[in-house]
Amino acid sequence: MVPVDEHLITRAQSGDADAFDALLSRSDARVVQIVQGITGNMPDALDVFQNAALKAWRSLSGFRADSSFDTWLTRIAINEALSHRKKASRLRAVPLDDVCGPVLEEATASPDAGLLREDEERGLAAAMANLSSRERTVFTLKHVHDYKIREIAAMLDCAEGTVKNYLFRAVHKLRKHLTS
Amino acid sequence: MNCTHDHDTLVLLYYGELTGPEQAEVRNMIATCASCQAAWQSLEADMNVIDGLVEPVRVDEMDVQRARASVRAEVLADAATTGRARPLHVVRWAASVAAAFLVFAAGWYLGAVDNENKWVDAVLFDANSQQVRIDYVGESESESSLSGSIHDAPMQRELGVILASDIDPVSRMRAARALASARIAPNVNVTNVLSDVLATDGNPVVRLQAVRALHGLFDQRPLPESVRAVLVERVEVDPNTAVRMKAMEILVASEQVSMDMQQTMQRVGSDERENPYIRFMAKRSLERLSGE
Ligand SMILES: [Zn+2]
Repeated sequence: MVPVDEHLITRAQSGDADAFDALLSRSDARVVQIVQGITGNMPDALDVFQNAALKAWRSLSGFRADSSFDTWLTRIAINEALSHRKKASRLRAVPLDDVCGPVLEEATASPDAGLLREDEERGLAAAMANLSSRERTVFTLKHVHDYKIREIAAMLDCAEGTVKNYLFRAVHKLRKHLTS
Repeated sequence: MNCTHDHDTLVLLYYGELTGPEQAEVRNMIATCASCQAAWQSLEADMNVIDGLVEPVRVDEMDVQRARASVRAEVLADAATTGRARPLHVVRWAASVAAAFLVFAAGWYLGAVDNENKWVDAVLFDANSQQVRIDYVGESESESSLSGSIHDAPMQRELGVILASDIDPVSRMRAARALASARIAPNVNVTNVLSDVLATDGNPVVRLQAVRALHGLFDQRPLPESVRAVLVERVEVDPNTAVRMKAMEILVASEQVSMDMQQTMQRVGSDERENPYIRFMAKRSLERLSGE
């Protein structure tokens, strides 16, 4: 999405706080939106964003230029949001290997009221709330933020096929609600 | 709608996720199959409606700016600790710098493995054969892997890269666990990366595996000063009990005496909130230190 500014990244990697801030400023609002979809509320989303940004700063030397900074930061933020939510809802232990899997699914779905315009279409609001968190996250990343499936797979640490399946299911469920 | 065509592909077409030839094929399908054509039109119509209703949650620009300002403050504080007399943080900083230096400048890691366009998918270690296999997922979902003995320098290098820089805590944890269960001789590269990870990794499971690996490396051997300093720091500040306990065990077993260690043992031994076993070890170590 956001073009990688190699110059800024090089400067940030050498410890330039201004350059890092400039990099963050290109992605911040979008990352907060995405994270909000997982945490379910804005204060937590802002906390998660801060933690993720600090993590990104501290591991910036490990940033591999194979993805854009935006995708990389989003990936860190999604992981951070998932573990935040795991802590917050004290879910039963989930095998470490399955971070991408059940975590999103298990928590009770909270309606993303903010995603929808007022209450003019309660049907669609209900449909969004009825999506599993994973379906909702994938759908939001694709439909609202226009990320490529490849990027979403990298962010969620899933296979592209998995992302496609969630997208198909989300679209199918939303459409079904529209026509019912 | 009784055609046998896959209508999920239409969703991919809608989102522009098909390659040129795939697109041509699906367009052709829409042009020649009435039921596909109907499905496509109804998809487009529904998506138009959804488009109008779904919008991203509104983010207050002031909130975001405040969040970025506090990130900035911490980033600057990070940098400032290099010059100030905060011994523990200097150690932490020095360890990260050392690891970053190793990874990206000194060349120890350079050229180990071509990691461009790859994500680590899995790190597998067989303790019996001491063989490691690292699976990668490439851009195009093509998979590749690297296998070898954990005693080989290139493999240790690759595990070091994963430990120092992989985003996925599971991969870092597995890399550390492989090093923890391997019987490798101490060397400065592996040691530096492990102590850096122990000092800075946010994931307690990763830190625990790192401290175990250090235990394995320096069992019956004198601890390097850099490692000892990180362990002393961990005993005092690590939020995870298992990590503090393991760090304490290594320090007690090393029997290396120093001023800061004695002070740490005193503090930990008299801290009533501390785990009883850790306090017991601290007291015992103090008794031994003063008895000699
Ligand atoms: Zn058809």
